Amino acid sequence: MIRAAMLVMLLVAGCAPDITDTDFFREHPIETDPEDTSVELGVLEDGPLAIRLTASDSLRIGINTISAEVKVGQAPVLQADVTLSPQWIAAGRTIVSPLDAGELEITDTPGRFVGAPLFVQPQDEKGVWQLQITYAASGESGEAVLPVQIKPSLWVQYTGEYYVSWILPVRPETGLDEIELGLHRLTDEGFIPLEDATLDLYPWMDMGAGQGHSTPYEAPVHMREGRYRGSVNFIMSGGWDMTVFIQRSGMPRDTIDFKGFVVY
Amino acid sequence: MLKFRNILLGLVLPACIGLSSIELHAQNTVHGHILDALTGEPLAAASVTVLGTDTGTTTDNQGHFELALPDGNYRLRISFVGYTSTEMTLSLQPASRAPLTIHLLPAVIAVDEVVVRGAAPRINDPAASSHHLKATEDLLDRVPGADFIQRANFAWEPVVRGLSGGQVGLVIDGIKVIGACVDKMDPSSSYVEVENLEKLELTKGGFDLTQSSQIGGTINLITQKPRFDQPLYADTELSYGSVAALRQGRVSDGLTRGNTSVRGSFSYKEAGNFSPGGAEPIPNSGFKKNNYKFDLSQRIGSRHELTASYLGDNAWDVGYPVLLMDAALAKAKIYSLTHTWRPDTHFIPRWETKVYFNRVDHWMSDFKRDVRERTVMRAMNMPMFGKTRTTGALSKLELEHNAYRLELTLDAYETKSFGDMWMFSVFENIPDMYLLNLGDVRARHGAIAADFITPLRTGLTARLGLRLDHSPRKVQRDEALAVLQGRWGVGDLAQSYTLGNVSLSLTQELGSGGRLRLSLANVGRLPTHVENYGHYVYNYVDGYFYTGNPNLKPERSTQVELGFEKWTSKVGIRASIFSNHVHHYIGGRNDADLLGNTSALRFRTYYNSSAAFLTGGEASIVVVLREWLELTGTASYTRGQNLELDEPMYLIPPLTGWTSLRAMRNKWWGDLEARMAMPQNRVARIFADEDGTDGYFVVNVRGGTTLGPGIDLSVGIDNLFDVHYHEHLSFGNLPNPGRNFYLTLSYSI
Ligand SMILES: [Cu+2]
Repeated sequence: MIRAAMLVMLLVAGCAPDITDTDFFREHPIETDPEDTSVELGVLEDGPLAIRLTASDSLRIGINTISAEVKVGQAPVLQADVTLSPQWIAAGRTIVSPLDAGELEITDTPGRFVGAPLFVQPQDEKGVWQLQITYAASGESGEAVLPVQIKPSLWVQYTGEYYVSWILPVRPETGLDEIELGLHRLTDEGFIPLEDATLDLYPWMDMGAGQGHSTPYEAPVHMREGRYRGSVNFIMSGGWDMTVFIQRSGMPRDTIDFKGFVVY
Repeated sequence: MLKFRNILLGLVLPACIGLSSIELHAQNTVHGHILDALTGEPLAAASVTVLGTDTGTTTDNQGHFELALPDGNYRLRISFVGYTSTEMTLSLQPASRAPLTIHLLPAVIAVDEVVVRGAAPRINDPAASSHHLKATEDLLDRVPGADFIQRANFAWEPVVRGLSGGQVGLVIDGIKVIGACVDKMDPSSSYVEVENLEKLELTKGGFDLTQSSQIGGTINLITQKPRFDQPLYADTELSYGSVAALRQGRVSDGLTRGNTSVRGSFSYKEAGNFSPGGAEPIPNSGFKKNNYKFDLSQRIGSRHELTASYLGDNAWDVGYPVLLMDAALAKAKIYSLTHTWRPDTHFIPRWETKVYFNRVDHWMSDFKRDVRERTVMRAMNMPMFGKTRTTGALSKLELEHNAYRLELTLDAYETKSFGDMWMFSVFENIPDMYLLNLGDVRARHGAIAADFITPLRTGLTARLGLRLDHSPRKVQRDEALAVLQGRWGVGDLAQSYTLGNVSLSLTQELGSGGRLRLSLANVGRLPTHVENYGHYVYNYVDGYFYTGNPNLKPERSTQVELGFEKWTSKVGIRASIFSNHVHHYIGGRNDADLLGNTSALRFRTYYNSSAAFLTGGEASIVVVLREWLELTGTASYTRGQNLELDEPMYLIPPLTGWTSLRAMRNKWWGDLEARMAMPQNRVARIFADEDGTDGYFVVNVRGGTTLGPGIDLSVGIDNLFDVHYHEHLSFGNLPNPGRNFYLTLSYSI
């Protein structure tokens, strides 16, 4: 009787799978604590002002999260303007890639600012990467250049005409995800955001043996600076092929396929 | 000797009985008088059965009866067609004088009742007779209007007048046990083995509102409880059936000391692959199952009784040859604590309150199968897990005043359910897939119901049922909610239903045992948690994967039933016709946003279609040919039409019937029984590409004898002519078993 009465009090806890947590391209498992994978990029010192740049993971082609800790001595600086501009240097020329004024945003942590610069690399060119840093804080201001190592990745795909960047989500989860894509073209002036394209999307899960299914989605539309937003409702975790169709007036339709992984 | 009581239907609802005195003659001849509780009229041809024995009698034209019994304690069961049957304890001591006066309450609505006691179950339905029962399903199957959806040779799902699932209220002692399998492999009826079944109450149609909000019918499986009338008892039974090499054993025991009584039971059964008529065994069609129950009852004073109950059921290696998955393991545990109070006032005869908790876990797997060749979900293994946890309370208060009877019910429960599914492709380049079928769905449910009976004038009795349900529900796991939000829009997708139900029945006595009944109902049933919040749930009926719809409206039903009963000493007839108009009928609609690339990967969502209309009827007849010989027959028919698609509804049974010739003489009995079904060609081709089913005629024969004190033997052959057939409600046209020789040996003390 006591047991029965106690059992009445019991509540249910669901059991979730212990699935390897990864980013969309399964390049790196995402740890629960970002401190575990964070990489220090360098420290910029200007008199008493120190700006320490760290990335949440090793930098790669595509979108990256970089934060700056701005301090004077041990005291955090609450107001600071820090801009990061990725630059590709090859064959004597510098290509801004493609953000030229990625201003970091203030966070809840005093003295900490974050941004998400996009590294897009020209196809088949050998060169080096650097981050151009512009800063104004605590009465000091200036510019600096920080050489960085950028790993190749699947986050940016080249159609032969367009550079298509998978910006968001970094870690798609089952359910409704906002999709953000970057669309750029390389010209003599560097990477130019394309704002006049009509994008469409087709999510597809290949279940093997010739079976597969789509899932409800909304085609991305242009927001700003060559960035397009849409959404996908991933109905299950697993491998998803995300085909992007790019249509610009007077141009042939282009297609690129991102093969990624959606976590539970 | 066969007595007429065997063929009289008991009509059961919670009983009201006025017992004035229990006293007996020194010679132990019991005299009694049975009266209508409302009018005081004597009841002729009512039956009195001494449970656990072959003794019994019927009342004469003035409602009197006599029974000769040795000293001892007995339990009497008093029943009469159209009345709520009742039981009472009788202590026989010399020098008792005054006769018994027993009042029976008119039931007004039609309830089919199947009573089981001891090793040889007794079924008080005109057409239902089986001395060999391998499962509770066998009992229910013989009630006209009840059918089963068969997914395997295991755990059939009850269907009443063409409706099933959330449309039917299936409870165990009033307890809701919500299935954990999203493929409905685990109807709770499979948890009550026959050794634990005291009584099965079935109400067809939405007229009984005391158990749940439903539009199809209610089935209450009333389990055996400790018996204070027996100081010590034990029953054992062993049986074997050839068609699937079914081996089963059961044992149940009870012990009473003073105010404490306990009862326990255990059974095990194991079946191999079964052979359909004239064919080789079907691979992967066996199962293993055990079941145990323990009850402890404590009387506190003369008016209070507390019973703690535990029922456990485990099934494993259950083969589902026509489905995608097998049930690797299915577990259910049902706990309850029941308090019964009999205040001994004429105003409150009884007040029963119960709290309960149950947990159901269900693991499906296809790892034993070659998945490369199948059509649906080819080349992948997809283990699935589901669980439910239900906590509830149920309180029933009976009130009586003069000729009025009122039963009030408070029914509250909460169910939490979870279901998930992995998909592991046999190809290495396909990543593992995972989804939640049910992401911690919480459904709460509260209801109040009133059941009121009153005579209107001589011979005319009315019964009014009212029920109000309220049920808030939501998805608690964010990942599951996110998927549904992608389909139905961002929001919490919580839903809250309030549902009113009303039913009215009128019974008119026609004289000489005849009775005419008219029942009306306007009732509803709530969507199930899977219909609201399920995700990627495969429906074997139409072959689509379903997404739940949080915005579903309850199904509403307007029903009419006309019934007729007549009983003489030679013939009993019972017949009813019904119509059931279901609005907001829950169906499936293609999901245009979710497309598969093969015809086996198709998606639908639940939605409220405009309406469906069901009509049909049941008839039973019993003819007593000789004192020792009787002939019975039943027929039932349901016609269902989906009014939106303008086509027949799916899974509607065809015209079906049973007939049997039963003999009983001295220590011997024998039955010759035939079951038949007409072809069903009214099928849902648009909705489900459903195929038609041929008719069949199957003959069963069985007999038995008493070998010695407490020792009974029965043998029989089902499907004597080894006919190859399948039921229309059988998934994947899974055939029924072929010729089956069986033997059962039982021993009782
Ligand atoms: Cu299952």
